Amino acid sequence: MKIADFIGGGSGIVLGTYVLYEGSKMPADHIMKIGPSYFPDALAIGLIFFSAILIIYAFLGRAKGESESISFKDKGIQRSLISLAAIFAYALLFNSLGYPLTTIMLVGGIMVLLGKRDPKQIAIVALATTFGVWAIFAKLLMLSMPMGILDGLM
Amino acid sequence: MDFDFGLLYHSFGNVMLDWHVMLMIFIGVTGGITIGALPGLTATMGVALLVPFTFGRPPVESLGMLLGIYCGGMYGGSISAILIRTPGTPAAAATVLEGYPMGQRGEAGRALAMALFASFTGGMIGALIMTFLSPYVAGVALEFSYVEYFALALFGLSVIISISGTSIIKGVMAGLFGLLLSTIGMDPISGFPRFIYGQMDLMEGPAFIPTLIGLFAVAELFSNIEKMGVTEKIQAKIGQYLPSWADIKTSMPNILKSSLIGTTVGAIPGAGGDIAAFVSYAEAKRSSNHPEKFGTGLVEGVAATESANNACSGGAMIPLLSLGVPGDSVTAVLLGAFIVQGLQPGPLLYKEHMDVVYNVFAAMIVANVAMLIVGAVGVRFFARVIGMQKEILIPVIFILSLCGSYAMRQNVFDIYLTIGFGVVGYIMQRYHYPLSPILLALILGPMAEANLRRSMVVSGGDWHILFSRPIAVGLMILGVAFMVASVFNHKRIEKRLAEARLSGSEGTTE
Repeated sequence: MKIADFIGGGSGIVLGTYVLYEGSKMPADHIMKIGPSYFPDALAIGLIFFSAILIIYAFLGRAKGESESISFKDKGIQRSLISLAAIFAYALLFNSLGYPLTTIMLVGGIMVLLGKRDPKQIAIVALATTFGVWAIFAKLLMLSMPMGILDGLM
Repeated sequence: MDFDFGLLYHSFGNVMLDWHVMLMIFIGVTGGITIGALPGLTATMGVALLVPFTFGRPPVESLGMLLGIYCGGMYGGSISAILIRTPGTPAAAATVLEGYPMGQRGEAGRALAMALFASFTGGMIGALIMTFLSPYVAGVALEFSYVEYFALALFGLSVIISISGTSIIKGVMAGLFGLLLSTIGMDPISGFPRFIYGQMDLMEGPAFIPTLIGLFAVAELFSNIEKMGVTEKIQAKIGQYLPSWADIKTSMPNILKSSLIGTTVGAIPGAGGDIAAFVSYAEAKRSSNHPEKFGTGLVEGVAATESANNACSGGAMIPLLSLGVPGDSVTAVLLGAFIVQGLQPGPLLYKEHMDVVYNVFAAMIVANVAMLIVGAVGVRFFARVIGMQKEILIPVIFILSLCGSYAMRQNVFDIYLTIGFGVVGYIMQRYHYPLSPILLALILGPMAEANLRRSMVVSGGDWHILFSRPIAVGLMILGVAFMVASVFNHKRIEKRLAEARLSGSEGTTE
């Protein structure tokens, strides 16, 4: 937890400093004394202060709790990263390929990733989920979902 | 502000005579119990996940459904607590103490029946107290100006300390991060765009629903994927749907007492159903004629914890409706759902949309009755749901999350936003940074900033205006007192946990 707290505190200081830098470029308000940068600046100073305390605590060995380190060799982490890549690809292809195809691929892909191997079960769940969610959003709530290359068929 | 019985009567008509509203409430309750029963899926996640299903529906239908999820989710947690010793929600953690031993003795049906009855009674008492009390609180708040609203936002933000989890520093850092996120977009007074980097989709700040779904649903999914376990099979036979008269008679004093405790605890910002349940359990044990039997599977214990955590939801709605300050993460999500509907909870809601407020009262009461019906009829189904394979559940929730984020603005940018906040939430959770402060800050940040800036406009930049109104000063003092009390409380809990760990390790050594 000690290293994680150093990294967390360091990230907080970097973020706070960056906000202060961005704030310095915002226009000042001389009449009301507080302009658009006032609130973000105050918060950034607070974040830097508490991040520094976190680092000091970690340095003094008073870091709280325990956490496992992230190892890319760990199967669970690998699964999480692959699923992240899969949903990112889903967002990327959502408009061009369309909702139905991307959804069938994502559901099927994640089921395989999580250990399902029965093609019949995968197909049923993927199709049922795709159709069920589409029916709720497009038919019940009247919200349009992109059909992509299937546009005109559905 | 006087209570309007005529309007309440009319609101019951609006809710009960419109089948669309009733259908939404029943769908909400069923969804809430299902999500509550599934370990790892919290009521907050349930409400966040199902908010997109309310887009485009009239407020009474949408809010009815969300209140149904809230009530159902609170009860649903007890099912897995009793059957597999895993509380579906944190609020059901205390139910494990008596419920699971009852299940082990072959009395799972009896425990589940009492959990349902106690949840219903507690929920009704909480809802009734909310109905009759919140108009009076809102009446006082109607006198508020910008200064009081700023003070109210500060008071609301003081809750961050009490929902910080293991580390106050990390909780405050999460809150400050959330407040910084709330400054993204147009400045509320001058309209100057801040931190948007030319991205017009960020002009109004990070969209609330995608942020919410990312932090509370997608982050949880990553965590579930990482720690995939074996799904437990349910062995217990459930043959009882409602408690026996003898059980009701034995448990009624505890149910009534715990419902009052639950409502009071719920009304305190930051104190949720888990605290209410443990306080009520301790009180039931203290006042019992046979305290030594607690822990062996007593039906009174289940009654105390379940009535308290469900009464808590009514209590938590009091500050939400009357002051616009969410008391916990579920009510923070509900506040977002109100905003999506174009309604801003708080005293002005009573002035401008009194009909909506009374519809909420009626819907909350009806949702509790719906919970009793759905819970009794579907208990076997919900028990089976717990055994649902995660390999099927996770991809389905992924699709609901991503499509739910997309649906509101029909913009792929919101899917990216959800994924981004999912990753941030996952990393933060892994390193013990609580997520609820971010949500609270995202809601109260704009309220604090806009009202502070408006106060400055009114006073011509004179800071003394913040200390010129007694209610504002009172709220600020209350906020500081609340923070100090939370810090001390946190230290006390830590001390007790350390003592418990010490005695535990000694026990192991022996």
